[in-house]
Amino acid sequence: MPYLGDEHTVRELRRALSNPNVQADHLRYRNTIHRVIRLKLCDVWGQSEVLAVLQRYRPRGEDELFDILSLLDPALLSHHAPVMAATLRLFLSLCSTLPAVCMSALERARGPLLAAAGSTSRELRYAALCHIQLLLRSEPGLMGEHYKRFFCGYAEPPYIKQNKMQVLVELVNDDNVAMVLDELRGYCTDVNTETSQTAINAIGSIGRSYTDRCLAILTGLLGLKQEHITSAVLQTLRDLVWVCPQCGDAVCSALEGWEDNLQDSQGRGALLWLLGVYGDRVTGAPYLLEDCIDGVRSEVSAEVKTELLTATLRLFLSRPAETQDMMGRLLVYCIEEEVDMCVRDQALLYYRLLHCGIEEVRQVLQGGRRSDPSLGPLIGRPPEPISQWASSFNTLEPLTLGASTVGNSDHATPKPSTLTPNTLTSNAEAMTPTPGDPHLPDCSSGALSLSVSPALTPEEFERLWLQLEKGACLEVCVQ
Amino acid sequence: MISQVFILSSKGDHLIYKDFRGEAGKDAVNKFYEMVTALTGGQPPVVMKHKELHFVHIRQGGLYWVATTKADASPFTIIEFLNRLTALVKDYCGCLLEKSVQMNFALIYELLDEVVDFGYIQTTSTDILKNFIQTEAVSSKPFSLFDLSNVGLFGADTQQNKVAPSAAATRPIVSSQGEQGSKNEIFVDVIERMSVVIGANGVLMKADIEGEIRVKCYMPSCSEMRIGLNEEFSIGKSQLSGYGAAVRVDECSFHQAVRLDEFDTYRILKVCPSQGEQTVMQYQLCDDLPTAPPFRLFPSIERDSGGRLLMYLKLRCDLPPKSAAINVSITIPVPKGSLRLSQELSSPDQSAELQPKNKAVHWEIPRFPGGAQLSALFKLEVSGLSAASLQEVGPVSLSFELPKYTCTGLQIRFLRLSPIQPGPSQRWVRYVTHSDSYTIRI
Repeated sequence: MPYLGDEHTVRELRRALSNPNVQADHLRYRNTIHRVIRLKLCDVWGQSEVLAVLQRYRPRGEDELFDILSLLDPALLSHHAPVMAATLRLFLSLCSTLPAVCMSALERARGPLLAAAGSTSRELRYAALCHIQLLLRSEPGLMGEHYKRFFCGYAEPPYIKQNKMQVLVELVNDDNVAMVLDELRGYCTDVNTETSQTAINAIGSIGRSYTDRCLAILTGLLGLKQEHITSAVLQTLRDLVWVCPQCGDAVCSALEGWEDNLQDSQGRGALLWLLGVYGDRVTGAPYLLEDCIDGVRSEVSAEVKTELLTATLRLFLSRPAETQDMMGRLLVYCIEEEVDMCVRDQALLYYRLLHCGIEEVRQVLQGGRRSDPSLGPLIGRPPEPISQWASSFNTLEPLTLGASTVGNSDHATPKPSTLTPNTLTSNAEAMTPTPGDPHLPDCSSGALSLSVSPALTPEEFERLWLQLEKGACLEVCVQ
Repeated sequence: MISQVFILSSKGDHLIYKDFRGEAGKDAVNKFYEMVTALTGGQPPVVMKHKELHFVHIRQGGLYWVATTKADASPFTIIEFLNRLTALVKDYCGCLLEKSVQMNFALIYELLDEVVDFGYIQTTSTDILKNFIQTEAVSSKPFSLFDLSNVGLFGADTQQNKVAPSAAATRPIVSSQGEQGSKNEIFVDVIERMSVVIGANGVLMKADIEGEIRVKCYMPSCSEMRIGLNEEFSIGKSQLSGYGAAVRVDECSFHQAVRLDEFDTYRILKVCPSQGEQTVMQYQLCDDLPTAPPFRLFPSIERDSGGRLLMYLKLRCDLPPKSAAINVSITIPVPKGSLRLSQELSSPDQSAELQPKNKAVHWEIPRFPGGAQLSALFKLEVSGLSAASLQEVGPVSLSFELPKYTCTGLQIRFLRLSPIQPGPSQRWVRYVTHSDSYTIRI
């Protein structure tokens, strides 16, 4: 390799590091380290290679460690991104036992990382952003005052915008929340629907800590009456209400006089869930549900149908007179005519629950809500130790990981659908046991008892199934 | 450790393919194209993984430049390498288009041979490479002045890549290394990118400048060049601001080869430029611009009795009267139900049209003199116009170029070459600022 600065350097280094005899010879080791001093003579690629090779070296003592660190210090501030990233990775792995040194290294590397995040090359910007997200996991306050650098440019590609929005959400604090929300509000009307949905979700995440402002923005967005925006806002409101029940009032006033016809099934599902939970406070809820029930035959999505069932039943608990009729119709349709088995079984479960009595229904549907710790308020999450991500710094991993989470960031918050423990645990398709759920309301008084273990083992089920005739089997199994 | 490098056109035609380590098969190329075209808009395309192979790619000049690797390599290294490769190809072939890559494939294969050895990057410096590259570059067509609109300003990537070069650079820019025997030229460009957000009340919310000094050297032998910057140039935030014409930046970084011994006292940079293009200095300035942002908008948007949306926009340019902005393009997002646009513009060279695909009005102003104020009245027919539609008139984005102007005030006082060159040598210094992202909220 004739051009690599000094070919002897790299060869010697490689040999030295793998030769056990050399490790005993103190002088030769010092020699090797001194070769690192000539790092400045190599070009960018040579420096990256040398730094990568140095990853394998374990310094023999603290003196040697600090020698190396001080020799490499200027490389940390290099404006060539590969060199800076390789040096930082080396620092983090060498100083894994010295957290103070790690922190100061992160702070020094902040400048070059931010410069890379603003470079003309989009791909480099993306790489820098993914790595900044890694850093923020351990040191959330690192980029605090530079939050403006993460405002999205007008012509940036959607994937960079979405990454920047994720970073902005983590940098929010009391001083800059007004500016950040203003900026995010501007992105909500972006031409690209995915970007606007990410922006709305970002506002929802910030809303866990700054509820009032975010609610004002979100309800204002409903006024635009644009399909994808409305759908995203409804889903965000549903997630927000799950964490901050105090938003209920604002949500109810937003739902008053709701007239829109949503096409998107996820949006419809969210709307139905909200109507179910706040049905007693929204005057027009029964009428909206009635419209949906009348159109249930043409409904394609099974999730929307299950949400409809749960919402109707919930509304029935609070407003029985208005809902009784339509609930009957819905149950009849689902049990008699519905093709999808999950929906049918759900309806059957509700039917039998109702037979047990209204108290049982109330207990199952409204029994203790457990909030999910991952949906906790944004600020106050404990920072992760650096060692958790240090090994993936400066590799392709954060960039491929980023690919999978950006698309799923909206779905990462577990949807409180009807199949979660709080609403409908029994899963009376009792073939699938809910694993160890201690909070199940145990109604020992009525005929219905909910148990954790499966009613039938798979072998028994198969035997029973083969024995029975077609019409009678389900009756027996649900028992 | 790079396993393969290949270049694809945007339609998937294989232009260049080179395998360095024999670890992966040629079917990787088709697999890559399948994966990249199957991505939705929101998914980041930069790094993709298929079985054990990672694909890293950049898009430039409408082409896909892809590198594959089996090991978990550093993304910065590979992306930087690909960027450098495109810069090298542009240096040699003159422009970065599918046609020029096709015509110069022999040269590019030779470049790849020298630049990477068994997957390890050797060097991307034009100085060293020129000793080994034998092939001559073939330019796609002889230069003609009518083609200036396709040529970017010395590799400065503007948003549209259709920037007419500023008045000082009417010389042919398309160049190949081989032809330059007689021309002794050196171009020093100070290029600034400005990123501004102005809030709805006219308050400046964010203003960032990222600038570079680039040197493009055509002289075959040049041992040292001294670039002198403003004497009052200062780096870093300081409480004491100078009087009047102080030039200040927040951060500044230099190319490895620049010698800074005279920088502290006289603000002189000493560099030995190699043939081709290199960035000598990069600097950033955040939030404390010495001059006001160049454009201010006074909008007034209302509904008229006939159910149409009326937008009266007054745009004011705050540059000094001698300067002007060129190719100003203003984009105003409008409500989704917009059907037709009728406009009243103040001069015939301006134009405006409604773009149905992104639901925005584009207003183009070819030349906007400093201190002037231009206004336009747009009447939009919107189906289903309501009070809420007014909210859909979104943030206004501008893109423009300011020739012969730098926002920070950085100037090059002098440019000295030593030893004194025999024969006529041309030294060109150009300043340009263009907009990275200029957003005005309504």
